[in-house]
Amino acid sequence: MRIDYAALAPELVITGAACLVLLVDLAVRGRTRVISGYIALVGSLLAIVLLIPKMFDAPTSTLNGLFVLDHFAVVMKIIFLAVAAYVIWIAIPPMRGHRYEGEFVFLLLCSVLGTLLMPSSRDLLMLFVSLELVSAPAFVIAGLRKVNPLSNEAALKFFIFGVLSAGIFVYGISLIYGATGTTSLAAIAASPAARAAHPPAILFTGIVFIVAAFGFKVSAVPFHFWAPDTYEGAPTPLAAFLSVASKAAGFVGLLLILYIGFPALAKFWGPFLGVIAILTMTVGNVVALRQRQFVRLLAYSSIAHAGYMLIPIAVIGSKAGVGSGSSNATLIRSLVIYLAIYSIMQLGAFAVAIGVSKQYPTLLVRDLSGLGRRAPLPALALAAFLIALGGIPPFGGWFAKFALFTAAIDAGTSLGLVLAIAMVVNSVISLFYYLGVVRVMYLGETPEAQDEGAVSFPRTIAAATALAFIGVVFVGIYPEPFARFADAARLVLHV
Amino acid sequence: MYVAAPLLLSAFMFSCGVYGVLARRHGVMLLMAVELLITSANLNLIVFSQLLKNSLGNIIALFIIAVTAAEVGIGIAIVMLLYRQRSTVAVDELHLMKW
Repeated sequence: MRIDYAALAPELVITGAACLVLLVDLAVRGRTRVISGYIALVGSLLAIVLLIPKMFDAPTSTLNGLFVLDHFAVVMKIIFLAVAAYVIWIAIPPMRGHRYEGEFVFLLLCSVLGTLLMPSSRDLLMLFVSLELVSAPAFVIAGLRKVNPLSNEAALKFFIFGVLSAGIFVYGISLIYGATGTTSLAAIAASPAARAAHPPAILFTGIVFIVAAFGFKVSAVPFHFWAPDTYEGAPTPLAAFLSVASKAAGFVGLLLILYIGFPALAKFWGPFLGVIAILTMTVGNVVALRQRQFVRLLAYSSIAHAGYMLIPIAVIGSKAGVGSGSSNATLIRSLVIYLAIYSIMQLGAFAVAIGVSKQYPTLLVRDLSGLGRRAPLPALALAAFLIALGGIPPFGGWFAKFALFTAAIDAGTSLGLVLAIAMVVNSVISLFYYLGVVRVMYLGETPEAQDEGAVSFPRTIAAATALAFIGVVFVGIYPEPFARFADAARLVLHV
Repeated sequence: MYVAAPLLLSAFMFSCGVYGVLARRHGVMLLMAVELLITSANLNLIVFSQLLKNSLGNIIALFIIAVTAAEVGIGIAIVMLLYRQRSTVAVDELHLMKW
């Protein structure tokens, strides 16, 4: 078997960077340990540079078809790597001087490697391995603040739900293997069992189990219980990574399995996902209304956004299979746009949260009161991120919602229409808590015990916040280049 | 080959595993329930592999065993840390965070 190392270059670079971090962290002491963060940063940026020429190459496949590099995979990998670089960047100040500074970077890179393998996987076994590679290092990172009981509780809850979802996933794989005799997604789609007029019940059970397993990963209701606790207790940079990259990896995996593996059964899983989508966005938004802790609020808001992002996958299902090309391409494009813009808004909000957490480790929403006076620029940026998450122009979020909405309507099915309306209603509900935080920042009284002095932001965090702010404004006013980037994300079924 | 019996056994093991993970009381019992969950899937894979005369299922089972070993290792580390902090492995007493 010949291995196409050029196609695997980004994964190899990240693996190399992870090993290098491990070695360098052994050698250096004290303040210079920060170097591991910079190695990871350079590694992720280098991997992005290596990926850019692949945008113009024809899709390739290697490792006996287990690994496929099409344009969808390239675009998703660029998004994952950009998210990874951003998270590593904003993690440098809070992790500086931490006992496990190097370990944090190493484990995060391992998790990033898993997200990179996910969009290239075309086999259930490969998807399982990449899913576990995303989760397992994250369990360790969640418990990295060893003296903090919250961190430990976060790690254990995350671990319980993570392994439960892994168990359900492998059981689903075993059932699908039993019904079709293969684990390659293309071969499953072509197998007699999946194409039969009345597919065996075992296949339906397998699909339900796999959707449930990915439901944990993307924190869809009713599999979302771990997310708020884990985000609150884990180190905040990890919460940022989990709510963006790990969630996006879950969506990619779900899309690949259902769209490539089971197009013939779309009538079954489309409405099933639609129900989960509506439940997820509604529960996420309604519970977010009563949150008092800022990271928990972001967690529930990310659950609600997971509901929105399930819409294109559900509607692909209702639109009778892979054959009808253009509308499916529009739906995949809208998912990619949403994932990318959501990453910018969410990471920006987390960057501000990390900046504030130095002075207010509990990060209650009340702690943000008067931030408009005490740190005018970060407060302005946070207001922009929250308004963008709510979907109000001129900030980026409106374009993501618009793309999703039009794609769902254009699909021309009643399911798409229902889901689009549910999304609009939910976006209105979500404005209450997003604007509530903005109101607290600008109009809230600071409690008498606290001083009225300025909230100091580390320079790195301030720069990262500024970058995300520029991104969110740019996308909101001039979304054209962004839409083109997402247009390039063409999912190839057969290589 | 008569496959209904091993498949029923694995379904029973799977149900026990899910119950054990969700109705968690004791950290170590929880890890055992996780093992049961994964083993039920492995049993399924091996049975199907025999039934279909196709070695793929055996290979997948080996992969799953390796990945699970790593994962349960992490689980033991987390439970050990819990024990050091609280001198107990009672998982149902973890409720610092709610809603």
